[in-house]
Amino acid sequence: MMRKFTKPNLLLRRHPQPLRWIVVSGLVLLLGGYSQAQQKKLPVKDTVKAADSLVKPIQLLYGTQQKRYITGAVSAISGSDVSNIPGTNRLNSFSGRLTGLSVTQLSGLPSSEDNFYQVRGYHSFVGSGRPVVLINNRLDDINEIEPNDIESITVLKDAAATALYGLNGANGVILITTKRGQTGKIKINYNVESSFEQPTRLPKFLNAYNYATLYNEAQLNDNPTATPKYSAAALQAYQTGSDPFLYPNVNWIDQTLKKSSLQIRNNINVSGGGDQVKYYFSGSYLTDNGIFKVDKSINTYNTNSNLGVFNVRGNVDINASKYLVISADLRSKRETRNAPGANAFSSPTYDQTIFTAIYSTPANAYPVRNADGSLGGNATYTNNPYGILNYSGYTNYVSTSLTGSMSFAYNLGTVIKGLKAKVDFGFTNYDDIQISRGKTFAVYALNTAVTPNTYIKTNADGVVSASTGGYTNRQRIYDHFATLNYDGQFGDHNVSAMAMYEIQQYDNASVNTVANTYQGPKGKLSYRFKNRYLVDFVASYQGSEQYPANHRYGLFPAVSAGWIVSDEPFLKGSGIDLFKIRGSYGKTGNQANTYFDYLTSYAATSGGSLGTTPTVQTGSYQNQIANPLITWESDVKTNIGLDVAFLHNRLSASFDVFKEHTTNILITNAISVMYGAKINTPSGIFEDRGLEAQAAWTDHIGALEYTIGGNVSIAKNKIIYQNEPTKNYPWMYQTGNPVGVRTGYVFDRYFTESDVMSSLPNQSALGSQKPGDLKYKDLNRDNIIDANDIAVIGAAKAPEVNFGANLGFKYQAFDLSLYFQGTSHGTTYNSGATTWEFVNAGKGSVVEHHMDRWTPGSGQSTAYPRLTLTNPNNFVASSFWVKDNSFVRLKYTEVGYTLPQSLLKKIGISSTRVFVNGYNVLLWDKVKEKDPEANDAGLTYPLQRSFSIGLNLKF
Amino acid sequence: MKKIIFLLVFIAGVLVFQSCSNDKISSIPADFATADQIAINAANVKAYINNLYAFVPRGYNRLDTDPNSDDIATGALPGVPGKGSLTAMVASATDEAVHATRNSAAEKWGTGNWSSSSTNNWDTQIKTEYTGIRRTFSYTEDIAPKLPIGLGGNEISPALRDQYLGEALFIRALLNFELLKRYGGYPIVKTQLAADGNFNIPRNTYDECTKYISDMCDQAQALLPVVYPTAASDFGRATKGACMALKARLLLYAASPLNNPSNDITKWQAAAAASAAIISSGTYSLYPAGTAGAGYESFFLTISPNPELIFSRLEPASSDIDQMNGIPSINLGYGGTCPTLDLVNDYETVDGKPFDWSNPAMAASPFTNRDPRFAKTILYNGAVWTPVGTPPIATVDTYDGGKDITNVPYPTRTGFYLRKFMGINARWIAPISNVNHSFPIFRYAEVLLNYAEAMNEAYGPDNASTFTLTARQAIALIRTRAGLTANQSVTAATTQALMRTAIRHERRIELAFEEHRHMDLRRWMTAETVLNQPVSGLKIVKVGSTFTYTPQVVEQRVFTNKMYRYPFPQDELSRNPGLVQNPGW
Repeated sequence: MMRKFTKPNLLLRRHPQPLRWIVVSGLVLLLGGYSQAQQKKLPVKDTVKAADSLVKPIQLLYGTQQKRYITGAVSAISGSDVSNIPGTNRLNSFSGRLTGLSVTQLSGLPSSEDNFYQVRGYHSFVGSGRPVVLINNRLDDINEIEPNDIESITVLKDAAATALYGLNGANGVILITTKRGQTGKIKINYNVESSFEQPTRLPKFLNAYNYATLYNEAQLNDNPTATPKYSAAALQAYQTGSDPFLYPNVNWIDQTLKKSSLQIRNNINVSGGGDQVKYYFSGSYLTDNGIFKVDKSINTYNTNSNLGVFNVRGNVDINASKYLVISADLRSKRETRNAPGANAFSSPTYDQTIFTAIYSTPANAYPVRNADGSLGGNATYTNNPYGILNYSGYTNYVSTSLTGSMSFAYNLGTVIKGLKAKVDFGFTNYDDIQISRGKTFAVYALNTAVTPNTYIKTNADGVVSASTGGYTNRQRIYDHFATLNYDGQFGDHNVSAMAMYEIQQYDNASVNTVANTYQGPKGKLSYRFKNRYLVDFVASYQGSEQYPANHRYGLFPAVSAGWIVSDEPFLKGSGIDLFKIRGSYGKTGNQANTYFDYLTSYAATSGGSLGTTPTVQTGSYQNQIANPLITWESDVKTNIGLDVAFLHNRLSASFDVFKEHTTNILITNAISVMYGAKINTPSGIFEDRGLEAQAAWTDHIGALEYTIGGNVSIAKNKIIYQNEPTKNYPWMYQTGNPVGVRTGYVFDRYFTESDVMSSLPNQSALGSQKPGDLKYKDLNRDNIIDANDIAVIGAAKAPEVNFGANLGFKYQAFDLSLYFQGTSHGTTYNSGATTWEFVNAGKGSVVEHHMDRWTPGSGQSTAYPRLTLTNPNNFVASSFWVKDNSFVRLKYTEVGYTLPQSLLKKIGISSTRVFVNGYNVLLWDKVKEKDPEANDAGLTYPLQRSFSIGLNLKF
Repeated sequence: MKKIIFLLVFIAGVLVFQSCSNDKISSIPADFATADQIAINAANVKAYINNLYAFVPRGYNRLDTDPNSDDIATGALPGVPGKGSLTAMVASATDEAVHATRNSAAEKWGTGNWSSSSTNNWDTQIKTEYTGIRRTFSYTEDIAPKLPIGLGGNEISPALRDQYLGEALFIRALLNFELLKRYGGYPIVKTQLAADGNFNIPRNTYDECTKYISDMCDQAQALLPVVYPTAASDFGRATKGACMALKARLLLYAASPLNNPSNDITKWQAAAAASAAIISSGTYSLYPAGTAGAGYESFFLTISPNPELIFSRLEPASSDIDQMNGIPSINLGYGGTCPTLDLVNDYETVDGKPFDWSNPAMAASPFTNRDPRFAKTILYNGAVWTPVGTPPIATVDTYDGGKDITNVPYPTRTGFYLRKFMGINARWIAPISNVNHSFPIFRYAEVLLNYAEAMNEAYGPDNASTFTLTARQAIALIRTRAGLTANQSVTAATTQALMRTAIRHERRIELAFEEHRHMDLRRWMTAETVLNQPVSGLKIVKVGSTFTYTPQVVEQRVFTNKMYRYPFPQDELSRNPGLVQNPGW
């Protein structure tokens, strides 16, 4: 039960009893535990009905639990916290908000916004460590959800929370629950938001004059007797811009990318209900017109990265009888994407092609268009980025998905009090298809060698390639379960139990494999004594056809317990509102990437050569030997946590420490060579440990209500055993380090004249060296720089530390919130066209930081080695290019104004809130070349910063 | 009404559980075949046997910089060494040669830079051998018992069944011998081990291994034909002769000082008998002699008919080996295997006298009037070598400033290039021209040498015992085919000890670059001397039309006692607790 107070804190503090309450978005909500009679006694004048989502218990797998009684490690937020955040991949909006969940966004490509996300880091050195994403307890794709439909998001972290997910629980679970209708009058919400997006960061390429100057310098660096490519006259022409066709100076980024792109999101949802039926219907449409500059007069077809997403949902609950509730949910999404070029959504995706072209074309390579209007380009540089955008045809991509589910919940209270039964069926289909109409285009270069000047044509114009279904993706999921629930209270004893059977099948028809099925019983038993001693038992017994018949099912049990110390009589009145200690221990599994490894198969191969004219014979061999050892990874998780609240709940905090030990990780050839065949053995061992903390403070100063909070999650992993071959030196091992650490040579200093003369240690295997080149450390002191000197040079890309902080203010009708997010202990590897000079054998461009390069006399203080056109020495993997990608961002900020109700009531609007927000607003970091989160090479669609205006209307 | 609804819920629940009880998770995709499915198809069975021949050891430039190139990671075939200037022959790790490109695996091996680390043993091969052995068992245990025996269509005749079994046993014996010669007594694997089984397998003694392999040779020999009537397609399969030759070498190794420290004469006698059996079978003879060693040269480039060839690693026609050891000035060869001056010095004069630089006549014209095999094995300064695509008369110029050593990418380090095995018609740049190469695993000349060595040790140089040839006569056969005009050095070998020296010399010359030397020096226990001293090349200076020759050291060599046996991979010791490492490693 809940109430809203206009000036709550004062009232509450004056109240004789300690009250439990929370402040959310400026609303103070009393939580549970008060009888009707007690409520009436509360000295509260102005009570209104508040959104009931805020006091709903936390969603857990297949059920709910009040946070107070949860003994596992979970974190949860409400869907409304993130629904106004623009973007197409909802996961990115969770960054920094849920302790234990880390999300690193790699690309800004609309619709994909590729990322990697983990709950408490890696749990094995094999695979990506991605958690399972469930929507309403059912396997689904995070990108299929409409943000406004989200009721809550829960991240399940420890064994107590995830053991029910058995064979797929080890990586954690992200559980999303959608809104449902509530009894009451019809409610209509309309949300609209327009976002102006621009890249958070783009590389800064140098202009033609600087390019030419540096090119000459690099040329002379490589060969002191070379004739510089650009004469003094040419340099002057670049500087003055006297002839933009013969001496072009093109800023390719300006020519191809818009200053900003537009994303618009619309959503309308209708909900309500009566005695018979409760309903929630929602429809939404999102468009994003993409970053690329396209000249619509050239093409009747749209070649920009246009995106349109339709999403509809209907959740209906019918009280078919006094005891039976039938629910039916249906969701469908249709997404259309356009992009320039053929097969734009196959790998590599079109953004990589285009950004590679933009970032690899020097400013003086050719004019966008020649004087006669033809496209610029020559035999060396054929990939005119403007040409790709406007003349290379298009790809249309349609992705549809459909999820339907139905459940029958029967209250068996008449048989046994507190007993409920439920069966639940659901199917999901995804179907993506790509229709491609590619076209080639010619480029022309002015030939000044003949008079009158002519144009040299490279490539052919208008060769059309058409393909339908160049990329198709079809996946099917079904997920059925039947559940029995029991709740009972006997004096001080509170018992609840759940037993269920679930069968899930995942079928990826895009690849030639048979479907993967999981099935088995699951259950949970919770016992509470005096509402302060808590204990839970959870187990799933799950099987998969990927394991041999006698070893097909695994038992994944967990036990957890909690003690609410603050409810003990000896602490009553001590001013401690909550002090709960909890702990859990249990096992979860992870089905590794196996495909019927327990079966034998034979395959054709080539045999030896035979015959008087020796000919390679057809051979055959046992390509897979039945592997009786095959099994799932087993992750034993331990978690200890503390939840506290003080000062009348103004200060609340949680702490968790955890340790995970994963065994049975499949590794290849870790057994004796005498076995005589390739085999995966479950012998890898991995460890993951860390801690999490979050705290919040809520209070008011006069009429200004404010809240301040923060969280930090640390997860550090270590490979204990992975069958790494014996190495010559200890630093060559990856074992003992976290998964994904960077390896390479260790940068020592720039070569000096005397280093070059002494030629020891001998680095010649990596290229030739001159002063200003990178000199690497000779770790084994054998005077040769070789593979023996390759060591761990930096942390993995995935950061070990993730944190977030939020500030919220509310003053009368105004509200303001600020979310900061950051990471630490991760790295990015700078490489390629955004970092290196003249990549691709001298053809690439140069960026701003090349101005601070090593030159004779500049010593060791410069930021960049000497420039070169071709010498590979500086570009082998080394610590020089590993950058700390720690950062702090102002991830999200929103300012809202709620219009006075009196104005709008007459026209039927019950609430109107206008807001402006900013996403990825500010960034503090050490990486210059690209966004610190982005892909290492930085050649993908850049991450976007956006500013939006929006409106939430309630009827 | 309530009851109906309750019934509906109940039915729904039953449906869910019924779908479970169908046991969806017992479905098995049919593409996972069992041995039965292979065995019922004659073509599949043949293909299974054919795959075993991929495990016959390679000989030509097989050492690349990745010692794990024998790693059968994909499971299909043993790794193929990378083709490049760094890929070397085993000869370059012995006193036969040095490798032209520096830092090759052969150089690291020869200079003592190897260890029990799996990334640091340049000739381990252990994974290939045990993998091949497993496949022979997978044939004999899983497939062979299920063969449809008969004479009908898609049936396998009893004769073919025996042949397949014999082939599998021969390959198994050969791979076991490859382990034995490297490691000494090794853990014999006699079945397909189970992955969850016991890997606590101790090493067998050298004699146990010899007996095991020898018996297998006998079994295989009984099953295999002398020759294949369908040679065009079946040439290269194991024959009776191959089994006998393997056994002869096996027993010779077992009788040698390294493996027979008490010098048990019966071992020498057994070795002699095994070789004698091949000689008396009359199946093989030396490739016909030609003038000036032409027969000797032709043997290596002729696959069939070739009466001397007993068993070989066949490869399709190719020019890889020609390129990897080719003269860099011709079609950009990689130089590769550069014969040492030490080997060159060991070639006698054509009338059978030792070569001597202090003899002014010999020193003035060191490359003429030599054992004819010299010119057929080694390209020296002034040799005529005219591969396709070069001017008609081309001499090899390895004097200072000469076209074949100065300003070329992979110059010889010794003044010599390799000629043995090289096809003059090979060309690896367009227009490509490939030639046949078969690396001889067993050939009749080796059998004669094995015989001579065993006879001399067992009975002395001139006692034929119950056999037809004496040691001296066997050696004479080889020298005659080689085109030597007199057998002076052999004639002078009047005692058993002198004969031993003569036979070892003959073995060095006749079998040069055929991967015998590194094992011969070990089993004779002379490696600690021979392989522990620097090898030399020749600096040649041309003044006017005369050449002056100065020996110079080109590579220091290291051989310590522990290197008589290879170390087992370090990782293996922890995976098989029963394994005891060879001493010193």
